[in-house]
Amino acid sequence: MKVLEVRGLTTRFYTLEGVVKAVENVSFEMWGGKTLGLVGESGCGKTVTALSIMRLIPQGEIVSGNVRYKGRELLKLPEGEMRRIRGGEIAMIFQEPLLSLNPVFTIGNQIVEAIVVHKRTSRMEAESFMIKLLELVGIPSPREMAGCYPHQLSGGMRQRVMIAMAISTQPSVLIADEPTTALDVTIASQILELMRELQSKFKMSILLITHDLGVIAEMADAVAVMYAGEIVECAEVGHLFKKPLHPYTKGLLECLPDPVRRETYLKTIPGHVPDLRNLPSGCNFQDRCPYAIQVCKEAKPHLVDVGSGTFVSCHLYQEEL
Amino acid sequence: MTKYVLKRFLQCIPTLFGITVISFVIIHIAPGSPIGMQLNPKTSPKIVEEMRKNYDLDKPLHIQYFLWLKKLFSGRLYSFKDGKPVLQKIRERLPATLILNITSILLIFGFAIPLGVFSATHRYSFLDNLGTLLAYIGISIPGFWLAYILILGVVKLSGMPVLGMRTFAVEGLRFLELALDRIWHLVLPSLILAIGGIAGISRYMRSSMLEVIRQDYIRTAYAKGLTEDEVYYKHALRNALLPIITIFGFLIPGLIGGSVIVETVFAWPGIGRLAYQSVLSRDYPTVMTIMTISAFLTLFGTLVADILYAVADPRIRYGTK
Ligand SMILES: Nc1ncnc2c1ncn2[C@@H]1O[C@H](COP(=O)(O)OP(=O)(O)O)[C@@H](O)[C@H]1O
Ligand SMILES: [Mg+2]
Repeated sequence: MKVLEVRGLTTRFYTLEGVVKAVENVSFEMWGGKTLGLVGESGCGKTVTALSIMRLIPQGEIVSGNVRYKGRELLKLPEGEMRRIRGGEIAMIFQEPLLSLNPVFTIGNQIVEAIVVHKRTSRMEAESFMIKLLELVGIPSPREMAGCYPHQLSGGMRQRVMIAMAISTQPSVLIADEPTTALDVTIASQILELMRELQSKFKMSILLITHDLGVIAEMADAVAVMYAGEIVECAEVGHLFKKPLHPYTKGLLECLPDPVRRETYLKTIPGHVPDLRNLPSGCNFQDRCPYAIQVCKEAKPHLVDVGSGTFVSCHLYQEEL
Repeated sequence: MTKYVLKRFLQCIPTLFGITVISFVIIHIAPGSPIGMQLNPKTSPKIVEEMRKNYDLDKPLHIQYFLWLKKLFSGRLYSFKDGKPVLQKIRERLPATLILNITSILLIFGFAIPLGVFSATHRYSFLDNLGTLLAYIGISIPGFWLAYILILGVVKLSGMPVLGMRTFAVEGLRFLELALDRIWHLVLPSLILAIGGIAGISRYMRSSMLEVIRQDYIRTAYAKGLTEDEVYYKHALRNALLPIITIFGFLIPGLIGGSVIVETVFAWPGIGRLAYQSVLSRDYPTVMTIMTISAFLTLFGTLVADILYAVADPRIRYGTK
């Protein structure tokens, strides 16, 4: 079942230095119980995409697009109904679990708050449910831990608390914005494991945002690759790793360390990400693209279906149409 | 915690000692002498000498200091001016000053916090800009000048007396009328005393709130589905108030200094006015004792602020370091 469908989402920030085209014409869909990976370099618009779905863009404007959740158009929903979606239907966890938890309230208190916002239960019931949630996300001696403040927990434990808070209402969609970026490798894989467990338990769809293709390989069913505010390629995870189409995706995959060949230095894509306030006419990737041709300077490529569920936005593939 | 409080308290003692020494020296260096204030120039030198002896003014400065200390603690410190025990004089004046200052503190926090929060939540609106303008005026305007203007204006408009603590020579008032008369007399002086604090702290509260609203945990609170009011008044306010607690300690010296001016202008029978009169008549024992009490209150205020901060912010726990 299609749970969430994003079409032509465009979000901009109007700053003194110009218009930041943070998210431009982004489309993807999420299916029940599946994980969609959203991958791209930092600053390419991943977080803004997620926050636009939640309609939490106070300083910017969602200029156009559709976000359809189970048939309902979220971008047109009255604010009161949107609040019921936030946390209730679509929950979110963030990159920095320490900064994402309020320092002056106990973690138990913050989870209970998430429960009572969406469910009509007594405080007592919410508290015993909160203890169960802490147990579920693998926090030892949950009763004592519930009285702790965020700073008293380790990074991994804090992210578990964030997860407990997010799943407290059994949302259909979990948006995880770089959930493991701030964590040690071993802790990170434990958190990913926990997310996988909870996903199969609650049949959640996960939007997993990351800049780490390793995490994508481990977790995702499908991948959307983002570059300078746009989706450049979207494919099933197997296809993408076996046969990347977009030159940017190819570049990203070449940058992955190869354990067999053990090169002495890691490859990088030459050049810089363009300034989102001042994008070139034509393809955003033209300056760094080894395959760039004349048309790349002149026209914007569009996302086209190249078969077997793969979409790519590149002139090299548009000619074949 | 108890250990920390005790340690901080003991640390105050040398500071207090230092302040009294410096005050003592300054007072005695300042031109004029207690005797010159009391006698006319034709008094015979013999009587002058006798009086100097009487007041210990013939002894070296450091001996005089210790004599003052000894008399203060044995309760045998008498005013140069009227021979009354200094502590008794202060005790008589204390209630008036306490009422004035406590009212001012309540006014300061009662107005400054809501004003600051309002300005922050309506940033750059007309009212916020007006608030900024008024705050600058409030901070820079001299209290005594504003006091005279207000006294003139209010007396002209209402025809009611505003000086002193109550209206004299009005007989047969019932309790309620008496209370209203007292409150009426309290309004202007406490407001004048509070204005600088309201102006300064409301701006401080505004920037503190704006700082907090940018934090990640505010985004988390929205993502939970909380309303804007819940986010502001529960999650943001609690954090934004923390730095305001520290301000409480700095408020006291300003209030003490302000009391001297406001009490003098409004003929308020408090310690501030007593201090002013004692300085004019070079009543060394009284001035010194008031100075010491003021220094003590200031140190005590900072200590109380520190303790309150530790209670309010769970991240601060004074260890056994
Ligand atoms: N409030 C804002 N005002 C102006 N620009 C913003 C704001 N928030 C994000 N941006 C810009 O939008 C772009 C995308 O940011 P983001 O989505 O956070 O990237 P990431 O892919 O690392 O999550 C960045 O260039 C960032 O500078
Ligand atoms: Mg991000």
